[in-house]
This record gives sequence, structure tokens and C-alpha cells, in this order.
Amino acid sequence: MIIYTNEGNPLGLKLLMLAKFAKQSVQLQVVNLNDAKHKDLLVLPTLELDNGQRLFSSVAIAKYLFDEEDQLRDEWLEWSTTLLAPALAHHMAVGHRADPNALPVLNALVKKLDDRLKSSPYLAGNKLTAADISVWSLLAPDGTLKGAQNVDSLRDWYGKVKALPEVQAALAEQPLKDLSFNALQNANRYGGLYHVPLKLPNTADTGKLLA
Amino acid sequence: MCDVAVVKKIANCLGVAPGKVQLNDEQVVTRTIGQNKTVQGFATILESLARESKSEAAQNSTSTKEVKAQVYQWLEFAVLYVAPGSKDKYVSKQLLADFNKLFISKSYLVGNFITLADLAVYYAIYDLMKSLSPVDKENYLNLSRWFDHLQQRPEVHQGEPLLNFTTIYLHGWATGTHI
Repeated sequence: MIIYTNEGNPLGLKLLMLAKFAKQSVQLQVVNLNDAKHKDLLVLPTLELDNGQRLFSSVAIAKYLFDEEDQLRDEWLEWSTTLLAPALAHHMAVGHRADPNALPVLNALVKKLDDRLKSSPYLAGNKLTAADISVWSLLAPDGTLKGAQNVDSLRDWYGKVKALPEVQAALAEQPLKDLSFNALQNANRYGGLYHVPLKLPNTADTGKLLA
Repeated sequence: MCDVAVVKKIANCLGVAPGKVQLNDEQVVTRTIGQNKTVQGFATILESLARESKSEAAQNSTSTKEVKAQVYQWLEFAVLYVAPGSKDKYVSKQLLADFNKLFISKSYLVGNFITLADLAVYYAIYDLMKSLSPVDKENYLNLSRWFDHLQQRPEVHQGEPLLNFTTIYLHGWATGTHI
């Protein structure tokens, strides 16, 4: 299988981790959407299966590689790409794209994760699933949790996942220091994830978890 | 069209009772069936509807693992890019061009049959298509053909007036000057 990704794209790490857990051999290719030969790619990263079929959604790929009916896992997978990833992209944005509304939204999302991991060892229950991989790979780049307060359960889970050999193998190929959410600008022709509106939660009290 | 409205429309298409559809505290669309069974998230809800449905579109969408994965990626694309991107002048142009290119060689988004992917993108792009001028519609001919083909299905238009894709629009618009 081939992963087409652009330089620094944190979602590339996600696909690499999924492939390692699924024990699939995979080749990472850094490409540029502006190149004429890649004009058919809509969104990066895109995974090309051995039969030539291409998938550009990390959740679709996770569900394809780990084909099991688990609604809770599917809900967390969808949550990670439609809520967590856009909030991180908005939060890490610099210059005119910087968004002061992103921090409270992200705080609420991180709190939800910590609350969940207080009562459950992994997001979808007692064992590691693609949902954990998906969320972990988003929190790892750009030091999101650096200096975060009162998220002990989340930290324990983060350390536990990081220690897994599959994660270490992925990080050896794609070091965290090279990844940044700003790279998402070049991941598609629709302005990255900046056009995805932030969903302000109704619950006002989100605390001050993140630095 | 908002997520809640689209979920209800698609439930109708599939001939499934939507149950109670609303936004939760996180502003995520949620479906409650019966007393306390809930499903969260647009794509996850659509998959749950498809499992309960005997309709052609639902059967097509779940036929193989490969089809399921391809359908899912378009559901996500509809949520992340089509629905919010349609409100931005530059993004919407890119979306129209990309879909128009895709439909050069296909009649449906996945395989050769109607799936949830077509329905989700149809409702996500509806307002944008409605805003196009007749000339724009001609510029995006392949996309227009796909859209018009879908809207002819009664379970898709659900009684709403059909968008006009006829090419002899001038006749209706300026009959007096048409000799």
C-alpha cells in the first residue's frame, strides 16, 4: 500500500500508525498537490490499496483495515476527524487565520477525552481500537498537551499508547517534530480545515486545561 | 441544509423512521431511537439508517467492504468540505470544478449505482446548485447531469420544486424578445 501525504501533515502519521497496527507494509510518499501528476488527488493523505483503489478519509481507512461493527468506536472515529482535527487546526493557526475562539472549544474536547478515560481504559472500551490511534495521532504533533493541567487520565492513556511498539515504529519513520497542523493548508484545495466551522459547546464551563 | 434536516431527508429516502434527531451539547447531530438508544455523528447515523433499510440505495451502500469504505469517505467529505465550503466563494468554485471533473467518467460517486454517498453530497451541495445561474450550470455540465438525474427520483426531491436544468432558459426568461 502507498500513503500519499504532503510535507508535515499530521494525518500522515495517523495512516502510518493504522497500517502498522494492521500489519500492512506501507510506503510513505511525500507529494505536492500542485504537481500535474497528482492533480487527481483531492485530499491528503490518501491511501492507495494494493488493488489500486484510493481512500482519502482516515476514518474510512480505519474502518476498512479494522472491519468490525462497533458503534462506539465509530462515533469516536468520527468525533476525532470532524471535531478534534478542525479545532486543532484552528487553534494552531497563525497570522490572519489565528482564531481566539478555538481554545475554549479545544478545552471542552480535551475535557471530554479526559472524562471518558477516567472511566474506561480506552476510548471504545477495554481494548485499544482505531479510535485511540486516531485521537492519539492528532494530539501528538504540535505539543497540544504540553503544560496541560488536570488531565491525568488522558496523560496516562497517552503514555500507554506511545509505548506500544507499533507507535514507536511509526514515529521512527515520521518524527513528531516534523509535523504541524499548519501543513493541512496544503493537504487539499479547499483551504485545509479552516472552513470547517468550530462547534461551540453549550456547556459554558470547560475549565482551563490547556496552556 | 443543516445536519438535522439532512439526516431526516435521508431517512425518508431510505424509508426508515429517523427517530428523534437533534443536536447534542457538542452541537453534534444525534439520533435517538426508542427509549435510550442513541447514535452520534452524521456519518455514523447514516450508516445506522442504512443497516435498518431495505431500500436500493442502502443495499448498494453496504454491499462490500470496499464499497462501504468509499461511501464513508464521501460522507465525511460532505461534512468537512462540501457543506461548509459551499458558503465560501473560492472553495465552492473548487468544489464545483472537482465534482464536475469526477462526473466526466462516472454517473454515481461510488460504483455504478446510487449509494448514501450520492445522497449525502446531493443534500450538502443543494443550496450551492440552487444559487447557480443557467450559464454556470452549463459550465458544470457533468455535475448538473448527476444532480438532475438524482433530483428526478421522488424519494430524493421529496416534493420540493425541482431545480431547472433546461438549456432553453432564455425562452422563459425573455419571451417578448425571442423571435
